[in-house]
Amino acid sequence: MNLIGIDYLIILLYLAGTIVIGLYYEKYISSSEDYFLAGKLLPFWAIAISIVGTDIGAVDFVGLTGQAYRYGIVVANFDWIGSVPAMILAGLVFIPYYWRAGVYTIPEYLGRRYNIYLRAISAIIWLLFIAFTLGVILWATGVLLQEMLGWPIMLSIILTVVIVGLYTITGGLSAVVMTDVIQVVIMIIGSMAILVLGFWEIGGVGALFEKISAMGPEYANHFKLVVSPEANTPYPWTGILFGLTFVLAPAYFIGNQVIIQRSLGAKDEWNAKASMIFGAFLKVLIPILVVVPGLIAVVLFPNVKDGDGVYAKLIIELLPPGLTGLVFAAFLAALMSSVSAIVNSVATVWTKDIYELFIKKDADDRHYLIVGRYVTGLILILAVITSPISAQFPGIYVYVQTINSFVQGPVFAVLMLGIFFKRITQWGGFWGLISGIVFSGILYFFKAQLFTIDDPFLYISWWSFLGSVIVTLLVSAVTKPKPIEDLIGLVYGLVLKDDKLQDRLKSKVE
Amino acid sequence: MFNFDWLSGIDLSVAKTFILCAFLAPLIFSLFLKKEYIYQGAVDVKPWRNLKIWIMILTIFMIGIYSYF
Repeated sequence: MNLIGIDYLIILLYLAGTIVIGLYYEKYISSSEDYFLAGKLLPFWAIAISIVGTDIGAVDFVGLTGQAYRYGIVVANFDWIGSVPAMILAGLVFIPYYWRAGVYTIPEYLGRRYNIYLRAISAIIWLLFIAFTLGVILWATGVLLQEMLGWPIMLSIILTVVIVGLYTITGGLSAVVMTDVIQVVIMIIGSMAILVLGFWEIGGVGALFEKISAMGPEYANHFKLVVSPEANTPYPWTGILFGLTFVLAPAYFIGNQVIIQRSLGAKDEWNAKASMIFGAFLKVLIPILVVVPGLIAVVLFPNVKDGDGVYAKLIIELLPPGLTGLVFAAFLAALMSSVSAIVNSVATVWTKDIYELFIKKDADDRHYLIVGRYVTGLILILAVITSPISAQFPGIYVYVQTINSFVQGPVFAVLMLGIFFKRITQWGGFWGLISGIVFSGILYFFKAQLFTIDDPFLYISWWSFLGSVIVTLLVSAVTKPKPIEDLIGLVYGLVLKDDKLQDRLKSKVE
Repeated sequence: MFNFDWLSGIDLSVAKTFILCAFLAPLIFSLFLKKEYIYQGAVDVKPWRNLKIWIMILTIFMIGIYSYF
């Protein structure tokens, strides 16, 4: 695939615009709160757009379109039943409590609700996971751009890291969120171009339904959101409901620092809540941009063996010069929004939960701001250095995601029980998390004996969640809970009418 | 057991009802929340800021989609 002058011009304009907007926010940074939480000044709409931008990576465009090509609209479950209820729950219950508590990170909340050991363990687990993920995301996208455009892999990676580094190091969370807004707009315009031209080519929405339905029994499930476990799909309704809806989705929107950090930077509690619920509205639209193109590809190219190749095929076949550049700008935007969010969150967790807690406790705020900036730069350099490791291990992306599903269920169990029940004790939470992770490992180790599908991550996340809940409850039943006064502001119902705390936080913002 | 084999015999329309309930549950929960909790921190109490209405619109839309597909 070749880009011409107009395409490169559009990509350059996008990159220059991103840098200018990102650097503009440097002037608002004078404290660690400005840097890590955007000074608690973010409006709900910017947070919501940023959450969605972070959620959709460049690899997802190709991967989800490919999955939709193979399995149909069942893939949309990840953005619908796998997002909407969890985001509403996060917005109504969890986010207001995190925001009121004034925490910077999820491990910090766990530390205050349970104990310092849980804080340290969850921070370290999270940092290790993200350290792997960042390099893998960069490499996977570099490979993608090499396949599509012939760009050298390291060129794409270094270009991304330099630009993201420029605005993330200088402007912190404000720059990350505001560039995300621009990047999501670019992503939507680029995806809409494929969608509109695709529908034009096949004869409209009605033709899409008619043509796929007439293609034979192997396409019988392509327009079904709820699919039987007996069908040949990795997304049976049992896995979607128990693994995705009940565990992985809430764990992601309630316990993932990369997502939550934006809402913690909201300018007031209402904006914090509204950010998640407005984000759910935006998530509803995502399948239209990434799943429907996969269905259009079914009609246009019915015999492609590798579903992951259809997105590139759609670009080549449908887009005129200029729009091709826009779609690649959208690709870079998707990559940058994910990378900048991850880097900013890692810097926050490292600085607040490890450095400030264990290395240098009583330094002035300026010191932590500088540390945050250095760490951001260091993480990006490490990501570039470690990204080629992915090439040595072809299945590493799936492997990292599987490891992630080990941790998500237990973390969600501990967060949920901790916020809803004051009787849950610090050691209940601690052993609940540890045993849940160990249980996940055992299930994964014996997956061939225990599960009938090859990649049972949805089921593993459910059972590890359940195991973690049981252990947390059992240990809590025989250990002493924290005094009520230590739980105020951390457990649902204990600060519902605490206007003093709210006013204090508001005056801090003003 | 770990594969939810005991649920494989359930009719897809019943499975769909379970999924619709997963959408309805947060809506019902939100309806029980006090108005002051919903508006807490808001600069005014204009109707468009009522997050219960946002959730209602979102849920009805999603139930429509899942009922159709």
